[in-house]
Amino acid sequence: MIQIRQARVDDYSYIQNCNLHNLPENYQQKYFLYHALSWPQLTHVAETPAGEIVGYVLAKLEDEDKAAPKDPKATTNLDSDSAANSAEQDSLRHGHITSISVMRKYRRLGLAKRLMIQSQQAMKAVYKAHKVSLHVRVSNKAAINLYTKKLSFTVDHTEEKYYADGEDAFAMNLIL
Amino acid sequence: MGSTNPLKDLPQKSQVQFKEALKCFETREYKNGLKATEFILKKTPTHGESLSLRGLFLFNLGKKEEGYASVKDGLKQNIKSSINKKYIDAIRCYQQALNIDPENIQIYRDLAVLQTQTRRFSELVQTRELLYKHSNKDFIPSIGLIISYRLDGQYLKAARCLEKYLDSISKQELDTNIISELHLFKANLLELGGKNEEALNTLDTNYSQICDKQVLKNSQARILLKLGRLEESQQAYLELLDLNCDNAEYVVGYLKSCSLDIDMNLFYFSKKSKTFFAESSAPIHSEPLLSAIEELNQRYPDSHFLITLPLYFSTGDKFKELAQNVMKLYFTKGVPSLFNSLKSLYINFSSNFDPKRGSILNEVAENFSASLKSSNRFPDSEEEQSKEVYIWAEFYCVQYLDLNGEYNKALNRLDALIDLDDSIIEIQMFKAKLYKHMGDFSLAETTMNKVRNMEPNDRFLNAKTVKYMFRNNNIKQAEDTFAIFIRNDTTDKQQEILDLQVSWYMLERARSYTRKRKNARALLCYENILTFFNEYYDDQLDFHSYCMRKGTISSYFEMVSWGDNLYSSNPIYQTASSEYVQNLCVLHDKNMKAFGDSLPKPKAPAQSKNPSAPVSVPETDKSEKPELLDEAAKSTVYIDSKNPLEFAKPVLDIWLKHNVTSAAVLNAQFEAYIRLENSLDKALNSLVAACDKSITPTVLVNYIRLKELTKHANKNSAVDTSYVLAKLTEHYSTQIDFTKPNVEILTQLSQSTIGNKAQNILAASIGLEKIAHIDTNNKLVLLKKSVDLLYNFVSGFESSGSLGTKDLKLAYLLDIKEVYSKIIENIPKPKTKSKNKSKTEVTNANDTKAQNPENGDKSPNNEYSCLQDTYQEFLESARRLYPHSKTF
Repeated sequence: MIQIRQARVDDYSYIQNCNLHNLPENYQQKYFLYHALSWPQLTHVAETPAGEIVGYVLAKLEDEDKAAPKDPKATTNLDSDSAANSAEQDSLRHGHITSISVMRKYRRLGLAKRLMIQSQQAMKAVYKAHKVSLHVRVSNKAAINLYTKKLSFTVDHTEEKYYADGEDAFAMNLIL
Repeated sequence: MGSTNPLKDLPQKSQVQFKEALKCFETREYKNGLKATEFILKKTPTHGESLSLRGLFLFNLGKKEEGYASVKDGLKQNIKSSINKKYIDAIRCYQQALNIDPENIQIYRDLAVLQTQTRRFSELVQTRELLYKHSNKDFIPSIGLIISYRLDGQYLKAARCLEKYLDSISKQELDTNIISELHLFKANLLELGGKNEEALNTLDTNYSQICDKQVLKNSQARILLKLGRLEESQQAYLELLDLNCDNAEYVVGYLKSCSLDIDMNLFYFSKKSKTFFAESSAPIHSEPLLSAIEELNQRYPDSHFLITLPLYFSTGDKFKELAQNVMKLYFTKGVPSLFNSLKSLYINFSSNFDPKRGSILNEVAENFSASLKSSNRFPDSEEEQSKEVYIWAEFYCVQYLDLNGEYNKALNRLDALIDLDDSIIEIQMFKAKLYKHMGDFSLAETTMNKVRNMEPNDRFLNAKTVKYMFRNNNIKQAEDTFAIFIRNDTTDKQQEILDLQVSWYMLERARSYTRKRKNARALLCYENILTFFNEYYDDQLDFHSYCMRKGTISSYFEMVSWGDNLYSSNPIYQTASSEYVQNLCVLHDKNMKAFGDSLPKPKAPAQSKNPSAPVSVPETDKSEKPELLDEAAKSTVYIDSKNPLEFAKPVLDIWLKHNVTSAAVLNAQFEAYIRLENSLDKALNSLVAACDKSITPTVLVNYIRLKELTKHANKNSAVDTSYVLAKLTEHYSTQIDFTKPNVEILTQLSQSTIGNKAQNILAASIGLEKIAHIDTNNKLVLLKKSVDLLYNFVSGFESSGSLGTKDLKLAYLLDIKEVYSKIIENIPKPKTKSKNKSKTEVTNANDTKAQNPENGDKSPNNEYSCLQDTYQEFLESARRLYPHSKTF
């Protein structure tokens, strides 16, 4: 009896908690809030009937010319990101999965896939994103299986030593 | 976090200068004042208050820009000062500045941000109106003004204003996503203002310009439902379900639009609020609901949500049939979380609770498990299942046995499962959990650690293991294990943990230190958590202007209400802050005890400590890493404090300002106020609030304590407890006679059948122990009575046999042990008798003591050994009840 829904701002401290339990790549609350207050439609959560957040997908939008900051902890400069008055309708935008995880016990329910699909739908519908990208550890077989087999992502290239512990990442794409 | 005292971080000389500067400000000696602040800043360049003050002097001396910059720096630096005060100080500075420089637009902009941050919305409206008047009326000043009206609750004024703005612009001026947000914002304002038809119109006419079709549809569906246009609403909800069939709001909306009676809180149990339903239950069985849900489920067969929802709206045979379907499906899929997902059916969280549902679930699971075991088939089925399906069915049974407190049975069956297949992580993990419930924290830890080693790269297993290590008070090991997943490229792992705001880790660590009675170290951990929450609150600051520029308006209002409820709704904050204050109370009591006094009274500085008391001393463990010594050094702030409750004051302020009123918080508040000088009236307020929430044995005990304290206090600080008395009398009706003396009242509480029996006895015993410190003339009698209650309770449990661990939870026994040791600590130890002797007495007197506790003379020595004896007997009983727990 798990529901999937768009994240509200008051979910993000629980998303942070879920992230800290599941993954080695963690962020400050403010970085989560930055997602919530920039692209609220892209982040989704899986919630139990007891109100626990047991999974999430955290995603953002990137302009094609701007390279993604490699270090996710790199401070997000809230002052420089001006959107008003800059009619950017024509520039190409794509979605990027910042982080996704499901608590161990809640696996085998296909929650990760459902979360991804919700986020991808929103990227396309709300922001007209033409593709979605993500990074995955080359050793993470379960995740790679989900992205390539169940969601049809393809490997674009390998980024060497992408992770803090020195592991490489596959950079993957899916045309929306 | 931190003190509200702005001088705390300054050297002695600077403190004098700061006071001087303040005086200069009042007497308008700006030049001298400036000199004083510059003296301070030379030594402490980041001192926020001095920077702000310097700014004000510069302003007054005509150096406006420089002064303004300094005030701003001061605000930035001042993250340590108490959160509300900091912003309010800054507002004062800006307003001062505006008196001198009323035309400075930038100051108004910053002022508006601070007024939003402090939720001074009527003032904010004035500032925004002024900014709008002096602007070119384009996007930012317009949206700023409209947002301020919305925050101030002037929805329709905001809507009209927004309409005017939308009419005035050409659509090319703005990003399409911003235009989309503005239309949704307008519809929302109209809806909030009660203009549902108009809201709907806005959504319809601007359909093509709204990018976020899901939010659009949801608003339409919701408003249509409110307007009673059910068919259209139903259609809209179906379209939403096409997009996401696992969304509870859409399902409930759809069913409501079918004229069905359904409510979210009939199946949704918020663990965050943890309130249980006290009244008698009236479980729902609704055929119309069931068939509507089934119809939906046929349309969306993949929805997990729809598959399990019917369980909440059926009883009896129908429930059984549905439960069989659900279990068949998820056992076959091998879903480890099935029991967790159905657990709310076992909990009385609403009137819809039916205890029979739980027993049916257990019965079905047992039946399936037995059939799968013997024939690899579900009952009445030909299809052969794999061994794994049996494992998951049996695992479900193990989990309900655990919930029932039948630990040994659960453990035996779990072991058999592991013999069958030892590769399933979830099942191995559950074994550790069982050991934890059985009280063997050490075996729980080693078991979990073994599981962790099965997949060392899994952070979840790491986190679980760390929790179990803390639970077993293995702090060093827990820290080292946790550090495995902290990035290697950071110079300071401790700092990294703080930067990442790992609340759960700090909380477990704090509790471990508390259990080890290293209160100062615990306080430091709690303080970190409180800092995280203040950081969260501060995080809002930048977004007030960011969201205006970005145009993410609806999320912005969500953020504001998140900020409003940050302290009051987060269980981690409530737990951490209340335990922080409770730990300060412990330190306070230790200080008091060192001076042989337990009543609140200003006291001489604590020069020498009672070396025999189990106080926290600075850590000198040789095993500690050098960076941890930092923390040990920091914790001396608490150890050396002459008045530790000073640290509680900023927390008490936040609780009041942000209306934090969980039961634990109200209790800690009460504990702090009865210890603070002249605060019995505030203690009464906490008690009244707790009383209005729900009457618990703790409320009763605190009432008696407050009454006793009032008796011993001077006339001015005495308080009127009659409101609480009336409530208590109503609640306990004939079972407790509140006109009797305290001891009698508490004895009656211990016999009361209202509420949880174990909690009543425990509270009564704690109550006797507490009033023993106030009513010092009867100290020994009261303590003895307290101990007797505990002992009779535990031995009663043991002799009745039928009652299992479900009724006498390990947690109660641990609490009892805590009360005992407190009592024994508080009695002056006999000097003539050696400890050994009293121990030999225990074995000899074992048989007679319980029956004849009044035996013997009443000399303190004899009383002491008598209490010691009962304590030993209690430990033995506890050991028999919880043979696995090494705590006894």
